[in-house]
Amino acid sequence: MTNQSVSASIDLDRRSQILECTCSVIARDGAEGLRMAAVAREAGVSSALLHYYYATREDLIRLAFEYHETRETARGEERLAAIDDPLERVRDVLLRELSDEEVVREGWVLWSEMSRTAIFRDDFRASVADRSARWVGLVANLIAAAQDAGRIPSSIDSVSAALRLTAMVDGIGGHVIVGSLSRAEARRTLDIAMAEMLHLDPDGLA
Amino acid sequence: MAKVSIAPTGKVGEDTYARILQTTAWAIARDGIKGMRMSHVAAEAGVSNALLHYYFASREELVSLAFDAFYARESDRFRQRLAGVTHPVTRLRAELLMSLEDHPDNRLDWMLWLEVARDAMHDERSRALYQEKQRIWVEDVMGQIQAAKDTKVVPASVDTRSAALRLMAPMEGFGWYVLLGQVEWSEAVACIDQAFMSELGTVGPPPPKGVVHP
Repeated sequence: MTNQSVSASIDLDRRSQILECTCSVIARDGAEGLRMAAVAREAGVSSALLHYYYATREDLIRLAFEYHETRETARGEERLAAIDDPLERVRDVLLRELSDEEVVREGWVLWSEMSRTAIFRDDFRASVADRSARWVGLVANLIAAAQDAGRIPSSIDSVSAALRLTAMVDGIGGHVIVGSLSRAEARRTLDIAMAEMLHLDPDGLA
Repeated sequence: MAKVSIAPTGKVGEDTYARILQTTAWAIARDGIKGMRMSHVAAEAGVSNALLHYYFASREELVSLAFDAFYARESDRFRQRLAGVTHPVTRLRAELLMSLEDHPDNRLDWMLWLEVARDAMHDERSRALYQEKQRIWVEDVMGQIQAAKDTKVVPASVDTRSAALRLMAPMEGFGWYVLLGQVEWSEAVACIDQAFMSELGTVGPPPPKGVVHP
């Protein structure tokens, strides 16, 4: 490694560490009162360095959200690679959002902070629009792959079904995350919706 | 003795009171539940700080009364528009579609909903409000599905609660997509109609003209 690439990789590590830390601070306290000085302290870097990487707290919040999404997409791909049945892959990405893992809750908090501010800020709106389009696109592609494998009827419009299923997960997940709906009922509700929208035999879903 | 809020009497007082609450709702949508400042609300509503503090004992009370007033007004607005619609499925569908219309009060409604949802992650009071609104919404949809079952418009075999959850859950996703212009109105209508067909087997007869406008 040249000196330059060593310093570039330290740079990348440090940015990742700062963004990871920002995600957990937001998950814990919300983004509204987020202060750059507090993030710098928790990440163990100087305020000067933090400001060097991220000019404003809005940049920091938006990039933390994008970091979280990119990291979870990569983890999702690993999980999907280990699943053989293409139909189960569709189910996995949807049910994943109802999981009780802390990292999933973190995602919900980041999405809700971004969505709320997206009404007023073009950069947040572009970022959220891009990530929602990718999320609907991923589900649509997985449905299409399951159609190719003969697991879902080819008569289904994969994009429209993906839009409905992701919107459904958004709504149901919002109830689960604040404790209005149990995870068991949420999963059952989503499984029935999947069976209806994808014209599956409900008993076929394990 | 703790200070108490004093609701006004008389026409002028009532108008001012309503204007303050409406101004507060927009201030919450814009600045957030925690970011809203009473002094800004007073200035925007054109009243003195003293009068605002006379009517509302605390910020929390102002926020809570502003939400109550807003939801009471929304519920009246929907009830009036739906007054002539008797078919339970048509009514439920019209109600869901109306919430996606391009109307300033709908925008405010979705903005407040997003703000409460966001704040609910960290604040007990907002969580309680969010849960209550979710509960009222689910019960409202369940009530209409039950009415449709009672009048044999939909089969008795439909699971009321389960179907209600699947009809309303996507609305939260769509409300936001439509607000940000990510989903076309026609696309949202098509999705809602598909959901009605799979859950209830019908979209009901079309609503009278003028009840729903895109």
